[in-house]
Amino acid sequence: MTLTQPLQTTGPGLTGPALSLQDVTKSYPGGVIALDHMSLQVPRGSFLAVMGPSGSGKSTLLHCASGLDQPTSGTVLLGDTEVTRLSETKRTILRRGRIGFIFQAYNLVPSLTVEHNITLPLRLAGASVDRSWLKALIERIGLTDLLTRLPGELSGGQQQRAAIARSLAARPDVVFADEPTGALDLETATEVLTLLRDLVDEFGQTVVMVTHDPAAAAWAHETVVMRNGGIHRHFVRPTADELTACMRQLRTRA
Amino acid sequence: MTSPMFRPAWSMARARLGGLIAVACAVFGGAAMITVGAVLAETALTSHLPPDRLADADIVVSGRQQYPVVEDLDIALSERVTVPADVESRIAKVPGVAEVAADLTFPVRIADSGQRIDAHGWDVAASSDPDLTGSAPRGSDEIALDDQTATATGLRLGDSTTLSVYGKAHTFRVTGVVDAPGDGIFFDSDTATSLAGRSDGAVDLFAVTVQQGVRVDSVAKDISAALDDDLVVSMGAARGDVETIAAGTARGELIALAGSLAGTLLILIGCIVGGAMSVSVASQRRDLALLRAVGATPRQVRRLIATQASIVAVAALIPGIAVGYVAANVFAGQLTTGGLLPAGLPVAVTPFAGLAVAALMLLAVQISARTAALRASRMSATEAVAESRVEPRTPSRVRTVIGLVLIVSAVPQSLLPLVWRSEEAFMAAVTGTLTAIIGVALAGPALVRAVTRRAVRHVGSRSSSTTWLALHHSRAYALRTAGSVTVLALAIGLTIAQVATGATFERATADELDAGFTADATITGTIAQADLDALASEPGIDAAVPFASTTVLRTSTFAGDVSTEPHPAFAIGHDPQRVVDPSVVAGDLADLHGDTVALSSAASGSWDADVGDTVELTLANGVTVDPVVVAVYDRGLGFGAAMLSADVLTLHGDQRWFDQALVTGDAGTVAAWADDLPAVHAASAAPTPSDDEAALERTINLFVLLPMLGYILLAVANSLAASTARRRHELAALRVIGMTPRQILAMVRRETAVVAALSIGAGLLVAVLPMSVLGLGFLGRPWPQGPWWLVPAIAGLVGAIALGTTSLSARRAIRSSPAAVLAAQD
Repeated sequence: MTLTQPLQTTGPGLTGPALSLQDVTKSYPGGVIALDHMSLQVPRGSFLAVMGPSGSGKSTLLHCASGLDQPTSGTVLLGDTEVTRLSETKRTILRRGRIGFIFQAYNLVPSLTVEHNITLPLRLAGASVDRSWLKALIERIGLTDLLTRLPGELSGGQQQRAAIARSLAARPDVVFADEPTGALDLETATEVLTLLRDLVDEFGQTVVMVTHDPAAAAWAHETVVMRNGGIHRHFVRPTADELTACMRQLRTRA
Repeated sequence: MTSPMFRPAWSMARARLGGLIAVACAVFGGAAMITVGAVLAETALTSHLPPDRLADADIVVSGRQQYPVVEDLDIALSERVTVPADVESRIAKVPGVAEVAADLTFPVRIADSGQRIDAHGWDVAASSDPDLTGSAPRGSDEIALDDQTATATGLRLGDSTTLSVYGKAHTFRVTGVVDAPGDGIFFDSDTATSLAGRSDGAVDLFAVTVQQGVRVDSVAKDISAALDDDLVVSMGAARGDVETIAAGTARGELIALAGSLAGTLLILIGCIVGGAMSVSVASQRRDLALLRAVGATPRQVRRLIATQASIVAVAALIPGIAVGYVAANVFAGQLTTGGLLPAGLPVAVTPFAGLAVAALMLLAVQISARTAALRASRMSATEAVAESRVEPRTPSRVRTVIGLVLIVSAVPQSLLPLVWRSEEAFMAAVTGTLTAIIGVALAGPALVRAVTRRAVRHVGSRSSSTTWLALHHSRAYALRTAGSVTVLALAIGLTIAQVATGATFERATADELDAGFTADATITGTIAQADLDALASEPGIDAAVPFASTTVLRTSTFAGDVSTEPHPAFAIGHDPQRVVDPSVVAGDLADLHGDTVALSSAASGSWDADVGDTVELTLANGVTVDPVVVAVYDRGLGFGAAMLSADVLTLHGDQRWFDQALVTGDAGTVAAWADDLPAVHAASAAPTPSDDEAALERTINLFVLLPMLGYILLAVANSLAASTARRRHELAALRVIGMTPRQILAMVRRETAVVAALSIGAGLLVAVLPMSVLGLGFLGRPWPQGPWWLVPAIAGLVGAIALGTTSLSARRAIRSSPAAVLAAQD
C-alpha cells in the first residue's frame, strides 16, 4: 500500500507559508548576536536548506523556528500559530503535534524498539495512532523488517530512517533536520536525502534542513546562505558547485 | 603527584565537583566511623586506670585475670583470681625487696545503715605511711576508716559499730581515721584473713616496696623469675588494672566490640567509597577519553584520577577523624554509663589512631580510584564517546544461579529457630538474612528484568506514556536499577534484622524469666546466706533462696578445634525448685546442692552432658570445677546455660554476698524482714535482666546501626542522583520530541517508584520472613519483634530519599534548554 493522502492533514489554513519568521533577533548576554533581525518565509510543501559558515547562526535559526528556543525579539509563526510567546510546556505540546525533528546523532531512545520509538511522540501526546497509515509510512521508508530491533542494533542509515519515521508519525507541519547526513557515508547520505526529497515532492511535506554540506543542500528546492545572523544569499535550485563557490567566498571574506 | 597531572586534575575536578563531593562525604563518614573503632581499640589496648590505693606500692603481684584460650583472645575473668598466701615468702627472698604486704578486699555491710563497704587488710595502707589520726587497728575488734568513709558513714574516732560479714555480725571500735588513697574499712591483717573466709587464706595480691636506690624494673624481673607463670608482676601504669579488675574485663569486651565492627565497616566503606569513585569517574569519562586521545598513557590517566581522589580524601579526612575522636569520647561516655567501661578509664587520645585511620583510608581511596579508572583509562577516545548507553549484556547466568542458590539456602537457616531454641538459632537467623541479601545482590538484575517484563506486558499501551516509559527504562537498565535496589534492600534488611533480633532476644529472655518465676517476692540488696536462713525460719515462709548471676567458661573441642566460650549462668542456693521453674525436662532441681549443676537443654546438647555426667567448667574467678549434672531445663534464655549450686562457689574458697534472692511465702513477713535490714528491698515481681544492661545493648546497637544506615542511604542518594544527572542527553532528546517537563518528572518519579518498590519488597522479604520465624520460634508470635513503626518508618525513609534525590536531580537535569544540551553532545 502506498501513501496517497498528503502527509500533513492537521493545522488550520492549508494556504500560506508553513513557517514564517518576522524580524527575529536572538542575542545572548555578553553581546553575542546569533540572529540579527532575520525574516524568512517557508512555503508549504517546500524543501529549504540553510547553509553558512560556523557562527553564522544557522543552528540558532533552527532552534528558534522550531520552538526549542525563544528569540529575544521578533515573531515566529507556525502556520497561523504564534510560537514565540508560548510557554515551555505549550511549545513542547506544539512540538510533539506539529513539528518533527531529525538530528545528526539520531537521538532515538536506546531502550525502546524501533516501533516504540516511532510511536513515542504520539504516545506522549496521548493521541491515537492510525495503524494503517503508520504501517504504510513505515513500509514506504523501508523499516518494516526492523520494527522489533533496538537502535543499537541498526546501522547509521537505518537509525536515521527510523528517526525520519518518528518525525513524521504525528503528521507535522514542518520537519526540521539538523545536519541529518553528518554522520553518514556518501551512499547512505544519498539514500536519506532521496527519501527526504521524495517526501516533499510526493506528499507535500515541508522540510527545513540545516547543513554545511553543499552536496546535501543541492537536494533542496531553495537554499539560504547565512552570515553573521542574517541571510547572505538566497538560491533557488542551486547546484552543488554554486554553493561551494559561495561558501568559499564567504570564508575568504571573513 | 607529578605536577603535569596536577593542573588538569584540578580543573577537571572543578567541573565535576558534585561527584567528588560525594567521594569526600564517603571518606568523611568512613573515617569518622573507623576512628571511633580505632580509638576504642587503642583505649582497650593501652589505657590504664591510674592506681589509687596501690599507688605507693612499687610492684604488685597478682593472679592472672585472663583465661588462656588457644588461638584466640584470652577471656577476661570478671572476678578476682586469688593468690596463695605462701607466695609471700618467695617474694620476700628476692634481693632488692624491702617490704611485702598482702592485700585482701571483701565487702562488709554496716548493720545500721545497710551500706556496703569494701574492707581491706591494714598492711598495704600502712606501707604507704599515711596520715593517721588515732592508732592502727590491732586485734579482732578494732577497725580504722579512711576519712571519706568516715564522712559517708558518720562514724568517728572511738565509735563502736556493728558490721555484718557474710551475715555474721561483729562489733568493732574505730581506732583510727586515715588519709590514705582509696577508701574503705581497715582490719588488721590476721582479722581480715579470718573474716574473709578464704580457703587456704588466699589473698588478692601482694604489694611490694623496693629498697632505696634499687631499680624497680630489675626487681620486678627477678620476682617474675622466682614465681610461677600463672602470677602476674605489674609495675607503673599497669598497677591500676590490678587494683580494679573491671578494666581488664572491659578491655576484652571493647576489643570484641571493635573487632566485630571492623569487618563489616571496612567492607561497607570500601564499597561506598568505591561506588562514589565510580560515579565520579563515569561523569568524567569523556574528558578522560579526550586526554587519552591527545596522548596521555593509561597510567597517567589513572594517576590523575588517583590525584583528584587523594586531594579530596585528605580534605575530608581531617574533619572526619576529628569528628571520630569526638564521637569516640561520646560513645565511651555512653559505655561507661552503661557499665561496660569502668569510670575513670581514660579514653586514649593520641595521634596514633588518627594516623592509622588516615593511612588506611588513603590507601583505600587510592586503590578504589585506580580500580574505578582502570576501564576508562584503557578505552580509546572514540570508544568512550560512542559507548552505548544501553547495557548490551544480559545479566550473567552464572551470577543469577549463584544468587538464587544463596537465597534458597537462606531458608533453612532462617527456619532453625523453629526447631532449636538457643542463641545459635539467633545467629542463624541473622546469617540467613545476610545470605539472602547477598543472593539478592547477585540475582538482582535478572529478577528485576523478570519482574519488569511482566509489568510491561500487563501495562500495555492503554496506560499513560510516562508509566509505560518508566517501566521500559527499568527493564532496559536492569543492571543499574538492580544496583540501587540491592543497596537499599540491604539497608532495610539489616536494620530490621538488627532491631528485631535484639528485641526478640530481650523479649524471650524476659518471658522465660517471667514464666519461670514461681516465687512470691524478689529481694535485692546485699544479702548473705545467714540473713536468708533467718528469714526462712520465720513462720509463713516456704523458702528463701539466694542467687547471683555470673559467668562460666566452657572449653569444648569440635572437629579438632579447641574453643573456650563464656556462658551466662546463675549460682543459686538450696531447693531452687521452690522458687523457680526453668521447665525441667530431666533430673530434679531438688538435688542441686553440693558440687552440682543444672544445664539448659541447649548446653546439655552441645556439651554432651546429661544427668549424672560431670562437666568441667571454669568459674569467673578462674577456678576449674567438676560438678555433677543433676537436672536439665528448657528455659535456657532466661536462666542461662547453667545453674550452679551456690555451694560450688563456697566449696572453692568463696564466701559471698548475694545480690538477689527469691522467696516463697507470705508477702507481709517478707516485707517486715526486709524493713529490718536496711538497704534491702522486696518486690513481688520477677527479677528482670538489669535495665542498665538492656539500655547498654540498645545504645551500642544504635551507635553502630544509625551511622551505618545513614552512610548507606547517603551513598544510594548520591548514586541515584548521579545516574539521573547522566541522563541529561536522553532527557533532552525526549523533550525535543515533545515530552513536557511535567511528563519527564512524572516518568522519573515512576522509575524511582519501581526501584523503591522493588527494594522495599526485597528488603522486607529477606528480613521480615526470617525475623517472623524467629518471633514464632521463640515467642510464638509470627512477626518481627521491635517497635511497630520500624518497618513502615524504614520503608518510608528509603522511599522518601530515593524519590527526593531523583526528583531534585531530574529537575536540575532539565533546567537548561534541550537544544543546548543536545548541542553540547554531553
